[in-house]
Formats: sequence, structure tokens, C-alpha cells
Amino acid sequence: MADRRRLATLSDDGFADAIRGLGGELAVPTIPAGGPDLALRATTAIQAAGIAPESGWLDRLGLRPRGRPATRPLRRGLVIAVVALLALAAIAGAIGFGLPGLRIIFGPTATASPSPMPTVSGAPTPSRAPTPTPTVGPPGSTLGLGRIVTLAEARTAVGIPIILPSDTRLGAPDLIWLDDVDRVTMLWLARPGLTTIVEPEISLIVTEFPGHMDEGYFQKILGGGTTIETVKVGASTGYWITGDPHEFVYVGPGPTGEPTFENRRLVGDTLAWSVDDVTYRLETSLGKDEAIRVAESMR
Amino acid sequence: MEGRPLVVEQSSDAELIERARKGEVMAYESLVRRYQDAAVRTAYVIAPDGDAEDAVQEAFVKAYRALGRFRAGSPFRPWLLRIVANEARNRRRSAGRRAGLALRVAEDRRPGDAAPSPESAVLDHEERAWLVAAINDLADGDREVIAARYFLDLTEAETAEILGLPRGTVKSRLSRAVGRLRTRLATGDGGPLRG
Repeated sequence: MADRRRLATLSDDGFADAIRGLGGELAVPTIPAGGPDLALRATTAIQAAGIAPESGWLDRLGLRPRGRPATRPLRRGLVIAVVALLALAAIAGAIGFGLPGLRIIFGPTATASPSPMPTVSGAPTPSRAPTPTPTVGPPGSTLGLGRIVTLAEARTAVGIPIILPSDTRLGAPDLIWLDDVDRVTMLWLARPGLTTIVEPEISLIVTEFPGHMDEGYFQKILGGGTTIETVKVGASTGYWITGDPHEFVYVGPGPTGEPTFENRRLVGDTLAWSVDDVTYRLETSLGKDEAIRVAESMR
Repeated sequence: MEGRPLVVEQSSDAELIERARKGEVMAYESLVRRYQDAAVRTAYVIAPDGDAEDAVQEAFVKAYRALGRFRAGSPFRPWLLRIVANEARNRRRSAGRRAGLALRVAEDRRPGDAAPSPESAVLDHEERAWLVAAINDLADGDREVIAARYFLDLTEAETAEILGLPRGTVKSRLSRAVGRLRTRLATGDGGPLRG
């Protein structure tokens, strides 16, 4: 058995070679054979989101400093979104109340029907207006959730890992929707033991979308009868929002970086949390403890 | 390959970049496929605790969006890998407790893994484990230069570009990191090296 002190006695070149050799022994992940590779997954996401290369006017003018990287568009989108949010808050006359990681605005008490979102100067029209009149269609079709997809299609289309509750009482989701900002919404229909939420027929809604609550992606307008409680979901901090139905507002960069607003509908008891760069939202009438249990079962 | 036929793309990087800039997504797919193994390796060595594949996929999307800012005529690989490294680093920062670099399971013990001669740079199993543990103990900045220079086999200039550092900083940081490794290995200093 060699002594590790032998390593320290190697010449500089020998030690560098030893480190270099170690590179070949590392447990670097391998791309599974047979599935879509990362290039395909990326271009599928690019096409699904309608992303186009930004104009390189600095290049053409020869003004760009060397090596400026690529993360600006998203950040710019976020800045615009945050500015728009502040304007929104001012227009609403709301009193801001910030918890770490989640921006909460106590707004007007929620009413029975969604009120239109105030217009923010310079911001685009809400991308999905609420659909007030129920139409005949599959559950969720009036909620502006996008299009129905299979789990495999959702996983291929979005740039986030899609996880599902492993709680056997729930089984597989009955319907999966995917919208144009990479938000995946899974619905479980009501059945014995699973009562409905605010939406008829539906007992559980799980939404997953790119973004972290710390980054100002996510905001709720709460009525006076709504409470928020900080909870633990596994190792993550989550928020349990309960009481009167409240409006859910999503703010984040759209496909080309512009802020996207949603004023979809009133929602009931909600658990929201983020893991890495994905935010999860679980809407259920199961109560806080069960909701956390379902959330922690997600794999 | 799922969904699309696998076509061997003969065009140069510059041609593919030009086509991709005009919105030809397939050209971009062929372009980044050339570098996806290097990209996964980069993401892994920068942030071993993150999901390297997800970081790479997201970096590929961001790089496509930023393609208009790529300087025509310069090498594409380091430009792309810098975006990958940034993405991996951002994910590392958002993660909590960290897992370090790990050795392949198959490398745990090789049959006939004889003790190397005193001057050999070929390591036995325990030496590999000690060295990885020592590297994992380094500060992030030191570990990154070690990883880029030796695990990705990049030149000093490429290391500087990918990590967004001046060349002089790469040089001094590398020298300091190697010195710390040697000191730790000589003295057995540091938790994972004890015993």
C-alpha cells in the first residue's frame, strides 16, 4: 500500500500529471444512450419557447468587450419584471410585505371573480386573459394552462426536471398541461377521498415552472382573510397560503425575455416552494400536513 | 436518437454558427452536439453537486439566445464552455450542502492494483481517493482552476476565458492551489485526509 506522502514527493511535472490522470477517473455523468441528447433537448426547448438569437449590434459596431457572456437577456427580463411588479404594486395601492424569498402583496380582498390586472405602462398585454365563461372541454381547459401533453412531451419540451408525487393514493396525474412559458400543470381529478378544490372536478393541481421564488418570479395578491405560513418542504423553505381564495399572479420573463403576467383565477389552499431553479406549487384541499406530505413525496 | 435522424454534420463551426444566427435551429443543434460531452464534463467539475445535464441544457439555450454576441472568427468551444461554467456555478451557489467530485465506481479497486513506484505519476486506489478528497477541500476558486487546467485539459488562456479570470490570476491561483494540495498531502492536514 503506497503512502500518500509519496504524492507530495513527486516532481512538479509528475504531480501535475497525477492530477491530470485523475481527470479520467472522475464520475462524470454520461448521457444515457437511446434518449434525446442534450443538444436535441436544448433545441426542442428553444423551439417550444420561440427563442431567437438576439441582435449582435455591439459586434457589428466592434464595441463589445471580449468575452461578455450570455446570461444577460434573462437578467434583463427579470429586472423588467421586477420593475413592472413595483409599478403594479403602486397602482394597486397595496402595502408591500416581504418575506425572505417570496414577495407578498396584501391587496384588495379577493372577490368571487378575478379582476383584470392593472395595465402597466410599457408592459405587454397579459399573455393569457382569464376565461370567464366555462366551456365544455377537459378539466382545466378554462384555466389558460396551455395544451394537453404527455409526461414525456412535457419533459422533452421544458428545461426543468418534472417530478411527480410518489404517494400511491394519488397515482398518475389525469391530465398534464404545458403552456408557452414552460410551465407544466398536472391535474388529479376528484375521487373518493380526494375532495375538490376551488375548481370543480379537480382535487389536486401541481404546477412546476422555471424560476426561483428568491428571484422575484412569483407573487400573490392576498385578501384580508388569507394567511401565509413559512413551512419546511424537505430541505427547502415553502409557504403555505390558506384562508380565503386568493388571486395568483405569476411574473416572469416570457419566451423573449419580456415580462409575462398571469391573472388566471382564484385559487384555494396552496403550498409553494422552490428547489434549485424550479418553483413548485401545489393546490389542494387536503390541508397543510397532507399537502407537505404529498410535496415531499415528489420524485 | 429520438425524433430526428442522426446526420453527421460536416460543416465547420463557423458555417454552423452563421446558419444558427439566422435562426436555423438544426444547425445550432449540430454545433453544440460537438461539444456536449465537454460541456457535461465542465458542468460536473465546476459543480459536482448539481445536475450537470440540466445545467448544460440550460446553458445551450442561453448560448443560442446570445449567439448574436459571439465574436465571429473566435473559437466557439471556450465561449460555449464559459456559459456552461457560469450556469453550473450559479446552480452550485443555490445548492445547500455540497457533494464533491467523486471517482467512478468501477475505479474503486482494480485487480492487480499494485503500489506504484516512488516516482510514478500513476496513482493507486488510495492515492486517487486522497487526492480527490484534497481537491474537494480546496476553496471553490482554487478547485475551479485545478479542474479547468487539469481535468478539462485546457490551456492557461482557455482556463482564463472559461472562468472569466485574467491570465495572471489563473497562473497564481493554480500555483497556490497545487502548493496547498502538496502541503496537505505531505502533512495529512485536513479532515478527509486523516486516518
